[in-house]
Amino acid sequence: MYANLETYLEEISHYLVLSHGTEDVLAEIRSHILEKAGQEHGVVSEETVIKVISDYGSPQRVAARYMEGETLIAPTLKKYLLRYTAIVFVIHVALTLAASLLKTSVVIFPFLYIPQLSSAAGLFYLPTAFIYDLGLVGIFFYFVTRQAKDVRLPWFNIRVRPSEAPAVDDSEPRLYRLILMLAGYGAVVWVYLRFETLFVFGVGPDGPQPLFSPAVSQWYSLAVLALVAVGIGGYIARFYTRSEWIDVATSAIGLMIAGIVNIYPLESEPSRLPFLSERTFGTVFVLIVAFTNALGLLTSLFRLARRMLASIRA
Amino acid sequence: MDADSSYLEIEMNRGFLQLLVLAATEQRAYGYLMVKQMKEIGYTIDENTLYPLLRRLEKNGWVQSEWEIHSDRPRKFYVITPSGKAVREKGLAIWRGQNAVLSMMMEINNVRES
Repeated sequence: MYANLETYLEEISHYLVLSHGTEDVLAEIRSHILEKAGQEHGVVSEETVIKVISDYGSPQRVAARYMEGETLIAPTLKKYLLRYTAIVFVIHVALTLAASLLKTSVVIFPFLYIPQLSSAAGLFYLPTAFIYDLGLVGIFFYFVTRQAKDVRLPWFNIRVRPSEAPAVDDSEPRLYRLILMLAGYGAVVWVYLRFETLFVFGVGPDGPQPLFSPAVSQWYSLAVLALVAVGIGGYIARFYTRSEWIDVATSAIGLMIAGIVNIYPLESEPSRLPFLSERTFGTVFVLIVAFTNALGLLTSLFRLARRMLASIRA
Repeated sequence: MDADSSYLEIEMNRGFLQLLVLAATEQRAYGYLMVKQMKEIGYTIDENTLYPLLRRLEKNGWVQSEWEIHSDRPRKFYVITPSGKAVREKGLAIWRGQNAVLSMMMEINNVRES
């Protein structure tokens, strides 16, 4: 037994995914390495085994060679993957809306569980739903691929008009706009550092005063700063790539921020404005952020899917 | 070897290596022996290419294998099967045909090797 050789083989086995014969493959590699060490170095020892192993290649590369040509999802099914995911997602969105409106949960065991959700929580749930649907459909096609038979699946003929408008806002990112954004952001950060909040009210001898209690002010101010930072980050990314995934990512992160903000418990404390309690402000804030980002996310995903389908059909 | 040459070699090797291994297994042989034989005639085959290829050929039923113990060392011997021989014949016929077509095309177009 050579410790290095066994460690090497153990590592190969972590990467090797074969339906059968893994042990046989490892035994053959072991045999080859020992044979080569003996024949080319005169003696089989830990040192000569290490030399042969270093020539043999990394465990990942070795394992990969045995799996060449094997795919998780057959190339012929890739169009189906996108199409079926879109269909499942539309059903998922409809069920989420129904669950939210009817204030009930939906269970399709073991595939789906939509808990009773508020309108805002329903919006936060959508990105998760999309990722879940993609995974679920992916698993389905994985098993279809494993069958290795010519399975004929229904082809849902979704009519897709190639987009005449550019997929993303085609206006080039401009440096002066970025500088303005960064300057604006700097000013906002300055306000935050100066008053420990962005929500200030009143000008007079006492100067601007915080609108809400310090903790609530700080929490929502940080949320605004994070949202603006994500927006600027997305704009900077456009200097490097015009991918629609930037829009998807910024909207998804915005939605996540809204979800995190929503966790904060709010009392019905009055603010300096008589008609605006902290709770009302918080609810409106979360709903606006969640709605705009959910809408942005769905629009970006729809644009992306439409572009992909159009390019597939072309 | 530059990237273009490497890509070309990989592409051209696809069928060639199968034929080479089907020829190397005419007599019973184990992996390391095949590597050595090929090296002796001026061809270097990566072990990482040979063993997965042998596995695929065996899966297709073109070679069969058997473990044997020699000097306390287990070795997996391969030998070509009758269906492997038939495939090899077809492969060689295709290869010769392609060679002939290529030679004629080069002659017609007056292609000279540098």
